[in-house]
Amino acid sequence: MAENLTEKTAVSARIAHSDKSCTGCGLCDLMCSLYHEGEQGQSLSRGELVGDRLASEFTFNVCRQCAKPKCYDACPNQDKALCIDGSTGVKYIVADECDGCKDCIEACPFDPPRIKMHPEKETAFKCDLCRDRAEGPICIEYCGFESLSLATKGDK
Amino acid sequence: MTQSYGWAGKILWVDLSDRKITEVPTSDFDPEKYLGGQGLNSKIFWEMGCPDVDAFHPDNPLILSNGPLTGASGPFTRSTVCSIAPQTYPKELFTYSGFGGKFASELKYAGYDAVVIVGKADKPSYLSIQDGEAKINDAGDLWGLDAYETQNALMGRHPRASILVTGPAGENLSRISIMITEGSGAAGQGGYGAVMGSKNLKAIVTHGTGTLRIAKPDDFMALIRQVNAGGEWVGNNNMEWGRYPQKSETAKAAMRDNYLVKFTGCYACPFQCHGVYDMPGVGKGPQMCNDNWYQYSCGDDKMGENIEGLWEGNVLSQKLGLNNFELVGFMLFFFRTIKEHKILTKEDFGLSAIPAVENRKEPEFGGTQAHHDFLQEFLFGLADGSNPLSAGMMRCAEKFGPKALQLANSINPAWGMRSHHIRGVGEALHWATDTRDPFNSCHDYVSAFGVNKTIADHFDVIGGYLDGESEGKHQNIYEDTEHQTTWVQNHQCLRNSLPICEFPSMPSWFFHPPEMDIQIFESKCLSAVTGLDVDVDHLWEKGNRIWNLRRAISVLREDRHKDDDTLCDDMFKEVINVHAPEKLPAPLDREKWDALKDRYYELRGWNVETGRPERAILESLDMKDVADKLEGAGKLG
Repeated sequence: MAENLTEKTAVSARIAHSDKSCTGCGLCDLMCSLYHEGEQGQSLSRGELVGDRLASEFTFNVCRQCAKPKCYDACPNQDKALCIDGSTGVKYIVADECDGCKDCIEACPFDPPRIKMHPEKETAFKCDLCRDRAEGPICIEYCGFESLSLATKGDK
Repeated sequence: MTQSYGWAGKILWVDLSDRKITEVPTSDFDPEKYLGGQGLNSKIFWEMGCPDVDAFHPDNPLILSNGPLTGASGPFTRSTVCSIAPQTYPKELFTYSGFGGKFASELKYAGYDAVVIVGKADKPSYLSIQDGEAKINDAGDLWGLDAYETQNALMGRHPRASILVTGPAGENLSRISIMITEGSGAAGQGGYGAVMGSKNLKAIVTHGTGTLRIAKPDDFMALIRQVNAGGEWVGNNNMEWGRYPQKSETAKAAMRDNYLVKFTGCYACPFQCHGVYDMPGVGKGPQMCNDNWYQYSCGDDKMGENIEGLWEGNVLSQKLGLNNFELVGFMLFFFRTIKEHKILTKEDFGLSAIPAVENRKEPEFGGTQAHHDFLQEFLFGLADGSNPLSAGMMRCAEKFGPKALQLANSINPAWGMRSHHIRGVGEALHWATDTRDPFNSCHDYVSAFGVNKTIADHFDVIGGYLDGESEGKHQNIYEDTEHQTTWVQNHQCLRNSLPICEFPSMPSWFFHPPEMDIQIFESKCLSAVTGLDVDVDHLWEKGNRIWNLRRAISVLREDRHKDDDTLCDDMFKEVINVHAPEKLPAPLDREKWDALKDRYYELRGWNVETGRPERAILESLDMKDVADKLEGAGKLG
């Protein structure tokens, strides 16, 4: 890993969720899976909105874009499969380079892990803040209730 | 079935009597012709031979489907339930209801387009469906729990699952019991909670990790972007009619300012039309437009001052699994009218008090405590079957004699279903020719065509007839009304089969002709998701086909005839029940009504003498098999 990247990873943004206004509509998951996979369903979403629909209480499990990414450290194909964007600090996975070893998933400190395995491609995938999308993360764009936002370090 | 897009491809067939679970390919039931939901359910019922059994007979199938659009982002996560209905009156008809929440999408992700449940379990049971595996489980510990308790108990056993339950009302075979998921996603009309109860089926839980494969994801994304750009897709923070109590500004402000937690709604839908309220000591739950009508039991001039009563009525009825729409109708119209006509007493209902009517002249109106006691007694009485209304308004009235029945009839124009939005002749014709209240499409008339001639003209139906309604200026219009009713009926079938929720699919939504209107939107969504090339004409043909199949079922099973296509006598008389909040501007004219019906049958391709489908229309809709079966039964044309 190049020296200058360490500093930049510290300022990487991430998706933040607030349950206060979250209605549980799940468009975050559905638009994510549509954009990235051409299918719709939570299992192919980079995030995953979970919770208690009866109580209307929700949590959005999504990659935290750690400043010291253990997934990145664990990847045997570092900088090819699990990479860090030099300008934004975003950690992302290049599916074509991923051999599906799951080391990154095991290294993820969160429960449930914020990296998932694609059931058919057998490669790992996770939120990359839609880094190839000019409008930014599609989940935020389609959240009608301002429950999702881009947070930077220091934000809750 | 090789269908990869839209449909999951499998139907789960559950026989509770012999605990046998099998899978049937969806392709056995022509999904490209009948879509899903109501269309698929009706096709399944038709192929089962339209069993001529009572609603509570084990052979009455409880059929529940999602549709090809379910699982996609949009107002498509709805399940349609079809079964012989305990609630319809005077006969138990094969009809339908529907509910939202997340259940329909979970069922699709679990790998199924529909669940067919027949038989009766020998003990309380629940069905679990997870990623292609289904199991009948013991529900002995769940029997007797309310709808929220049941869901909470099952959430622990089936994390992330969507849970559909029947409450104590359904267990006790109340004909006004609901199937409910989450806080208020309910199949309300029909009494289907009691069909679950009759089968000893307490709940269905489902969860899937599959996805909806979309044939043309770029087209679908572009479609969403288009409606989004029109300002219609996201951020609809204006659903005031659903999110807040609307019956008085006082109640709205008090609920909003003190107890509103957030908004909510069905999965995948951008509109989120419910409000979530948490009132300490009463309970937490969602509300939609009808749910706050418990204010009415406080008396007209006190509406809004008893929000505890309002909220208690809503939460308690949902927990008990009771049909709010029926209860509110009952309390609002029937209770008071009965009292005023001195036909019945509180003792007849086994109630110790009816503060809503007995205390009308008192300044305190019985007060909050009296209202609380009343609701507790009233609602629990319904849930355990001890209150005569447990059988529904019409059967309750029947028990109390002709005068009560006459009153009930004046509230319920047809099928034992409460009047709502029957303000034009088109709605009346729809009611008369349906198998239940057409409530889930009546807004097409009232909120779109009735008030907006431009939109009506665009779809080539009559419109603008409600202009000047408040000044009493509008009139019954018979001319060309058959076209309007036929349009809405075909659309209703599509709504219940694609499916798409009624509210966002009103003709006034997505109205940017010529590029976009609701017909174009629905046909493009279906095309993008399934990969089928469905234009507006093809789509409407499917709606027409489903309506015809529904009619064929009525004819075959229920001996439906044009003489049955009518409304209660009061709709033809000068004095329409004064307590009905909405009514036709004038009584129906028998002669014009009969002529309209004849034109309707002609337009439908049905026999004008019998009101039954002719071979020609059925064959033109690729339904030769249906024509043959009707002919074999001597009921074609």
